[in-house]
Amino acid sequence: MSFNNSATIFVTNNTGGNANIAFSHQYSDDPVQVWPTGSTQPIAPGAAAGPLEVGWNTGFLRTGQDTWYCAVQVLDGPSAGSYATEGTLENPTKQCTLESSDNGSTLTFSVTTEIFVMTENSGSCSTSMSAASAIAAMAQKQPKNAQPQAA
Amino acid sequence: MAAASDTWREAAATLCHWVDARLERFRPAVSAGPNLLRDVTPFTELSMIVYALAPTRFRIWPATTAERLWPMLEELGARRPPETIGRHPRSAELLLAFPLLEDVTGRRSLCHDEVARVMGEPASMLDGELARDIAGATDCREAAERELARLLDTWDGGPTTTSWTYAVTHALFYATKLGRRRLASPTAYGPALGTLARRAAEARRWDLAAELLVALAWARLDGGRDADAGRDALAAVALEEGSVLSDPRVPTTHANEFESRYHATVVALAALAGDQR
Repeated sequence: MSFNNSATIFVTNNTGGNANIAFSHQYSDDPVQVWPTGSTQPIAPGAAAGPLEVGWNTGFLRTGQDTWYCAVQVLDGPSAGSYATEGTLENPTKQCTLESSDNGSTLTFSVTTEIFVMTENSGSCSTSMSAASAIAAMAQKQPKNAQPQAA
Repeated sequence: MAAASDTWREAAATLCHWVDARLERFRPAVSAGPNLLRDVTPFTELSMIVYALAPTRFRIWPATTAERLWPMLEELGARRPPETIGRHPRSAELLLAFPLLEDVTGRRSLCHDEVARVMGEPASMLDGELARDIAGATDCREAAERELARLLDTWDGGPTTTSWTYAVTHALFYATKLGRRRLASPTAYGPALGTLARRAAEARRWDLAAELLVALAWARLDGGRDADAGRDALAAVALEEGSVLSDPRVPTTHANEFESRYHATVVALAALAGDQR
């Protein structure tokens, strides 16, 4: 399915430690868009995970919702552990709607061990992170003994 | 296509009452924010339905409604002059309400010339080309029918996504100029789209069901008994609730009553009244 809007999403690691990060987006009931799609390196503090190219539709007589998910596996530092928003990587559920004013933009979201913030041109949303054990899907995508990725 | 039933007419009238009681809520926002398209969406969507229904036997309500919307249109033109949005990538869509309501009311907006200048520039998307088409600046039927053929020729008849379904309904909306003209190449997919409408209604996805039924009506395609069943279900929920919920995942609260319902309500109104030609 082609979309009439697209944007590039990054997620900045503000967890205070090196972290594996995975995040996803779904427009309506279209296929879920996931980052990463393969193996990747842990993200250093202050560096960004991504890019994820996301698509959505806007226009008259057309409705749809954008939903998001983010999970982090903090490997070191004071808050080491696993954290995630509600939902799963395959079923993102936090709603934050993209608008036509986000089209063509590079948007940088951020994640801590407590909150995932989606900063869009059209407005911002946030959702809490909870300690999570269900990071298996993300962990499977991460190579063992990987080195932190520079900003 | 089946003749409109008394129940459908009664349901359409019920939805008209809901819109009439909330017409002020359709007034375009003129915010300082970046979401220009969202600001005019309720107003423009209602204007599209009014335009589509104006030549039908349901014409009294659209004529009356257009008269009530006209001052809001002129206010929009004064507060956000068309020349100030001429460089917006979707400027033609932002101005779509002007040619729609000019047509229905037979009036000429104070912004008519500025709108015409913006509409003179080709749009990058089919949505914008429809706006230019209604303004008399182009004819998007061929492009819309090409898009429709591309979508339907690759469909195996199986489950579809919402985005795909909207793409099909909108190609039909645009090819028929919101029901004002016939398809140059009538499609044989009426019964299949009718089945999608029935399934959407069974899943209580009222907006999707209504959009499919509107597409069938405007394209004069026979959706068969499934389409009638979808329309029956849509009429039943309209009569029961007085309006129609857009997204079953976003239930109505006192605070979001208008936002959660206006869209599906105006589309359902068109679906229930739109075949009365």
